[in-house]
Amino acid sequence: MTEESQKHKDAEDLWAVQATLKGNADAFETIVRRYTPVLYSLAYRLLGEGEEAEDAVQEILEKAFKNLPRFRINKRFFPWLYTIGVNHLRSLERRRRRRSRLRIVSSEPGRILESIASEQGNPVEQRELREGERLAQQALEALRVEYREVFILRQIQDLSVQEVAEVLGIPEGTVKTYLHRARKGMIDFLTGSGWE
Amino acid sequence: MTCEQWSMEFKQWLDRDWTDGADPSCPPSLQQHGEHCSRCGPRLQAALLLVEGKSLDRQAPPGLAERIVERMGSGTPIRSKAWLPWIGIPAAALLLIALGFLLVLRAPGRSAGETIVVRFELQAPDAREVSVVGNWNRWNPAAQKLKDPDGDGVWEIEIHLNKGEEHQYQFLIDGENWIPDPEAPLQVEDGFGGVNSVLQI
Repeated sequence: MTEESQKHKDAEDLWAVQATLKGNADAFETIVRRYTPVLYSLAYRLLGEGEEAEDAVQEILEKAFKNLPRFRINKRFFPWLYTIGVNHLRSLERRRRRRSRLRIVSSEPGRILESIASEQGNPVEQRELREGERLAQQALEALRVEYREVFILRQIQDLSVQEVAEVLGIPEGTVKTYLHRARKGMIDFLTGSGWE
Repeated sequence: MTCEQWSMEFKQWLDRDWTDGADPSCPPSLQQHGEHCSRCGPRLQAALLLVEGKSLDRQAPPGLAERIVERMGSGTPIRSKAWLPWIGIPAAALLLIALGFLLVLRAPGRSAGETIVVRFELQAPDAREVSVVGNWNRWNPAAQKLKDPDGDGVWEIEIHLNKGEEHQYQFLIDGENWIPDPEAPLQVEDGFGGVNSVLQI
């Protein structure tokens, strides 16, 4: 996205925020429609669950709506919304991890390959693509949550290093460090001894 | 190429520089073996997706935004009706209603016009301990604990604060959960990823 189109988008966001605060009932709908796709992608990659991600997007937008009076109008809206989103997803992730420790055991790489081999009737390439995405998601989930957040925001959602730093409230240098560690962690996952 | 040879080359390829602008394509030899090997193929696909990154952007299900708009309904966000979802307390204590502070100006509380009494109230029925922690008490969690003498879940304390100053504060629940006052008219970043409530008197 060019700088000019980003500024235009920021201006539209601010109009929608101000209009919502002034009582325009439809204005927040603009925000919902614009940010549902990116928030869903963020939630899906952070939580790894489609249905849970759907609920999370709604909760994030509701939270943003209720907290709108606290948004400072001289700031950009989308980092503020993302910060609410990441914080909410962190809390869901903490609960989910507590609930699902046993699931981590069952996702050991070697076992997944066995299940692939036992599937019948699917073209090899399609199967590998699907399993490839599943493994990519597993590699993400194997990371420490701080590294995963940075990787998703920077690498998948294409936020700038500066924007990632703003959203997560960490220095830009830390963003770069976490990104490096995320990549290393995923390489270790994909080349680890479980595959040999 | 055997799977063992492929694994070594795969690792070498992944260990290269991944900085922005790096060529995401993999060597043909890796591609060729990966396409025909059910053991190595998924690893290659996963690596390609991760290297490229944007390919992992997940499409939202059709109609999700419309469903959310419908469920949210319409209205204007009003600060006084804000509810704070409470995430750190188990099950039954998931919601905390923060009533915020009530400013009580009382003649006996004034000291030659220099201080006024501020009454803080916080509804936290499942809390075991509540403190108000701010710059006036040097962020000491033990300095000013709220009390709930009648057991109705509303914790309260009255504090003398200097007039004409800006006071920043948060509530601390059970010694570990920090929350800003959602009813406070002003908030500032606390430098730790959260916000402090601001009281100007």
